[in-house]
Amino acid sequence: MYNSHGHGHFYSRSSSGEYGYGYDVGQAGRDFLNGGMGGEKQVTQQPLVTGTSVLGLKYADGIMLAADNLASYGSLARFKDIQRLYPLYSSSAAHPGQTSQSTAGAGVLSESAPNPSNSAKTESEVMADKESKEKDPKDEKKDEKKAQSRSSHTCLAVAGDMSDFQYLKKILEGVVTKERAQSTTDAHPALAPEQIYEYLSNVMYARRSKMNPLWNAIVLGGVKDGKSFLGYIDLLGTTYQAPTLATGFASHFAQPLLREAYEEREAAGKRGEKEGLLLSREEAEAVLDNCMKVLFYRDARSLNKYQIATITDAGIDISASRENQTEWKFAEGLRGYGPQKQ
Amino acid sequence: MPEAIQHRFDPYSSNGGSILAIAGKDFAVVAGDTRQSEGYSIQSRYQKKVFPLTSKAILAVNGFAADGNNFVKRVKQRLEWYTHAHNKEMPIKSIARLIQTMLYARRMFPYYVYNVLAGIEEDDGTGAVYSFDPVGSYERETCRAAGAAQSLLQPFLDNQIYFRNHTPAPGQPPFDPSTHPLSTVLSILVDSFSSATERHIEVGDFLEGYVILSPGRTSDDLIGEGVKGVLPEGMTVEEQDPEDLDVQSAVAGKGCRVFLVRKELKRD
Amino acid sequence: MGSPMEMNGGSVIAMTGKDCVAIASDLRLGQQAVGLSADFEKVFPINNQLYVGLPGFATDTYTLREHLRFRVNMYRMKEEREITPKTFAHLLSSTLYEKRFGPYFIEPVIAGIPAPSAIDPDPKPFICNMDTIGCITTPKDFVVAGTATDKLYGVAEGLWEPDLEPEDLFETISQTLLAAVDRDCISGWGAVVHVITKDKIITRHLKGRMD
Repeated sequence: MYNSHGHGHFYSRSSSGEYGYGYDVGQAGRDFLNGGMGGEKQVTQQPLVTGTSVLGLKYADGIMLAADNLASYGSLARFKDIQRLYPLYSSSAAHPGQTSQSTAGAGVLSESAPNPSNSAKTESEVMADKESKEKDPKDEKKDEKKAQSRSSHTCLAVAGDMSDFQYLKKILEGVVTKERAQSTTDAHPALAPEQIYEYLSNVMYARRSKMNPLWNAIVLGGVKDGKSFLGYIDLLGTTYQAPTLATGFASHFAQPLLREAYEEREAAGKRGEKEGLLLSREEAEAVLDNCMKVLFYRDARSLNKYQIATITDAGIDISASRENQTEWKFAEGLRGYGPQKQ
Repeated sequence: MPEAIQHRFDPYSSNGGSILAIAGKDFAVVAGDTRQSEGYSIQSRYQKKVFPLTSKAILAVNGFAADGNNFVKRVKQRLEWYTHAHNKEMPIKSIARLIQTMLYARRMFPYYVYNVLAGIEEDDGTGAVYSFDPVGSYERETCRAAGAAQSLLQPFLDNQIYFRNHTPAPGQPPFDPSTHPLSTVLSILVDSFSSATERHIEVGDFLEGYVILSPGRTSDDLIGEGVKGVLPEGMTVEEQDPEDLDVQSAVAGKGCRVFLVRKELKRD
Repeated sequence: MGSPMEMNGGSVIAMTGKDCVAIASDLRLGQQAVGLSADFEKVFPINNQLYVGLPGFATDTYTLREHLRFRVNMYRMKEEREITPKTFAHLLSSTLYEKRFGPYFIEPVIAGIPAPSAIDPDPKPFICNMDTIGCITTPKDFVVAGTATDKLYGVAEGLWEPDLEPEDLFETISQTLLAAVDRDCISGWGAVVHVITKDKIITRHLKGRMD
């Protein structure tokens, strides 16, 4: 018997309160080993209000994400105006640490996009310019790095439990606020998408290891200094990066369409038929629109109202909600699985 | 109210793929495919599972990817602490024992990971392969396959590396697994993974790994002119700058050279 | 009690070569982990150009062997000619499918060279295998079955090459079988190999690890 104290304390020292943090740290371990405390098992939460699959796609200027506006309560379409795209972090030379969200119609990029030629320079940028003039040419590379590191944009698309999503937003907001506070005072480098991804996957993995997961699948897209990043994280802490991503239902329905479009464009580029290897903005958006349509037709937990996030070096643009033209006439004559006539 | 789905959260998953390591007299080779999957879905066609730890030790992890990545992160952290304390890299023999301790520390909630560690032994410069089970039982070997296609790969290695069921011609000396030339080992590596890709759905996309050469050893059979026809067809070799290896390059062991090897596998 | 397919252990493999085929099995018979016999052959001659391997549940190995002997004898008497490998495969397939909902726990392997005939003067070597209910597959390289299936696939995929001469085919199939069964706890204990050519059959018994 592990437990000689009768109410579930595995390490007697930590329960005596000798260490300030001892209780919390010990708790999860005890719960796991004893299968719950004193008979009341810590019930692992299950998803309640959920969002269905989300998509991510790498394209010429950066990353596009897509998610519909539905938060379901079981099979009930409960909340039909939920935004599941979360522009988490945006930092540029012109407006350090600012997250932009245009409310204008689809396809309008953030107006706050930095234009190096005529936009007013920030204090730190002027400082950096001054410094670089005084320094050796061999330090140029370093300065360049410093200057570039202030353009960074990261956005999430979240599937799964919506309250866990809100919790995630809260803690990520905390991290971002802290970073932003530092980045306004000096040349503090901007958070890269990779760094936010690493942080987020640590949070997710830590929670799964406490047997108390955050019930989500997240697609994180970002662009830093023109370099794009697209990664997946889920409730198990499983991570992977790929040029096309899809969660849940979409990993079966949309992922093949995304891969087909991506690979065909790549092949066309390699054959020299088109410039570059990546989909253009218009092409990428058309692919995502089509995927969302396919998902709406076949995923019963989806809604024909969705948004697309476009992350480029210039910023994050979250489109207004949009819908696809759908065609249901074919269903009129359908009986059973097809062959029946009446 | 949605019906109460009373199922316990399963903190584990299996992400397919396979890894393989072979030790030579003065080199070691370790590689894995880069496919990551769950069930019948391919999550990514290019996700690493072979990681340089020091300038002469490389770790391959296979099983549950989240555990694997976090385990590698923790090992790297321990190695960094070691470097700060001792101003040198940890020898591979010690890394192996460290890994066993770290795995066994989680005996009651194991890392669902099969580890294969390969590199160059500090004292005698021989190639070394250490393999582990998820809770830390380990052994030094000449070669080891692990992961989804272990059952396809290992008997092939028994036959080709260990010469099992081979008899030397009369008057000839007994076979010695540690005498395989590098080119032979690379051919066996590629053939093994091509075979596994052919018959196992979780193996494919790319083969990626490292060759570590013992100090002073020539690299004539790996890069430069004259390796055409010696190296397997379609294999690319890139010498790694210790700076790019994400290891403590300031105290990197002298002389060991690390090469990244890559080859395309079938994608179906 | 566990699955009948893994109760007695044992594996079979067949490979094609240049105008020849080979079929081989291990010799172990066990009751789960306990080995009982080291001379339990799982490959049986149907005629002098055709062999069948019946790995799986040992009692079904016997039952099916005797049943097939009866059916092939009846065929021989009625038709006054030898059964061809292809016809035999379908005979076995339908025999298995008759027991669709209570199958024999056997995954058969067939290897043979058909005799030249008027419609097929230059017959090709024939191999095939099937599942427990008679679904036939006829690859052009090799077929495997039994408890060491995965291992056999892994090694065979690495060692086999097209158009092997009988002696090379013998070496290839022997090395493949031994390498595979040495990594399988319930296969092994020696092996038997039959190489079938147009004019003769070479049968050799192999020593193997006895652990």
